[in-house]
Amino acid sequence: MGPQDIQAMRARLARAERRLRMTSLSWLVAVIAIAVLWIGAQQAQSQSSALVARRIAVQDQNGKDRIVLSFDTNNRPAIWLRDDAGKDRMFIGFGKEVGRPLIGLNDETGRLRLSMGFSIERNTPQVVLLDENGKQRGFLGFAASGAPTPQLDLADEKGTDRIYLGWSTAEKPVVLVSDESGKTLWSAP
Amino acid sequence: MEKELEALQRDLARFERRTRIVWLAGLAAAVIVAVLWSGARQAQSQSASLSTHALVLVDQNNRQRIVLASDTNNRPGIWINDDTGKVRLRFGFGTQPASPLFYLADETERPRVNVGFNVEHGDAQLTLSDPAGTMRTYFGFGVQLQTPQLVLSDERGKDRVYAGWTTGGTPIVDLSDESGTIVWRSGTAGSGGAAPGTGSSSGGSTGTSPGSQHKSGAP
Repeated sequence: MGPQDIQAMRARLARAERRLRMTSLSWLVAVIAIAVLWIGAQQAQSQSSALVARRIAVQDQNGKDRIVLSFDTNNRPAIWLRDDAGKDRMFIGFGKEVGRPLIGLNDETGRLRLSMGFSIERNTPQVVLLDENGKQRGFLGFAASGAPTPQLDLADEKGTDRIYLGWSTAEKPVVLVSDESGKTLWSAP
Repeated sequence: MEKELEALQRDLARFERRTRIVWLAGLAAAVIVAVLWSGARQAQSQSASLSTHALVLVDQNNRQRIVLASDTNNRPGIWINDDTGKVRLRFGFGTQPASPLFYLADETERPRVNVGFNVEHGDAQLTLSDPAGTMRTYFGFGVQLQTPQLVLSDERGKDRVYAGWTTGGTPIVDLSDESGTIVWRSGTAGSGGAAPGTGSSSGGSTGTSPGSQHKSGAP
């Protein structure tokens, strides 16, 4: 073994040392990354008791979204139920204007036919029935102004109130029957 | 000296082999990290939107309390159960026709508040039932005329209070006895009721007009 061999051996040793240094560093980085990911996985596992998402859809056998839990355009939470044709038929959420809770049922054309919620003016609960033309035909709720008294209104196809059960402006219970023009035909007491 | 150098050469060769093995193991670890990382990324992206065929929320005792799924007709529904596992609130679709409905049930799972559409014309309606299951209140549209009406019934299911339209198209309020005989009827022009309308009853100017307008009160 001559000086050339010794020199070659020194070079090999230096190369091996460099590789070892790099490998050690790489290992250190890998161990840190694995530790971070492991902690993340543990955290994710502990969160399985709560499902967190911005949108959840329950699909039918054809892969169509039929129940959607998400947010409306005003960033308020809502649930939509869709029929076989994919039309929204039920809405559980909040109203557009003042954001009060409401439930709306639509017919097969997508038109609102029944609404349960709160009035805009007084925040009083109410049920509204609408016909196939979108006209309000039945109202069970509270007066929008004056004393907050309960009332029932039944309207004709033009939207004119024809039967009223509720309180008068004199705060007395009253039954009113009106004609097509809204003129009172009969009242009691 | 010669022997020592040879031994050193052998040691160096072994050291190089080991370094190579460690390097290869590092490469494998890097691949594992990459796979885990992509999995984490995927999991993160899924949290924005989740699609499934059924979603069940269970309570601390692992009982199903809220179920979002499809019914036997492949129509979507939401069931909310009480502490004993009974369905107390349901949102979904009826069997025939497949119109949306929701109901609130009592502790025997009997629907007591029912909101949906009638079978005949698909008009909206709300009904209230007593503990025996008899419908006591109906707020909806008549089957024949499709005019809005409110009907209050007794425990036998007999209509006792009716507010709506007659078949002749006149709005009326009726009170009936147990046999169904009308004992009182609001008077309207041409109906021959208790107080025939004059066109300008004691209402309006004397303070018996409706309390207020509700029209703008839609949610």
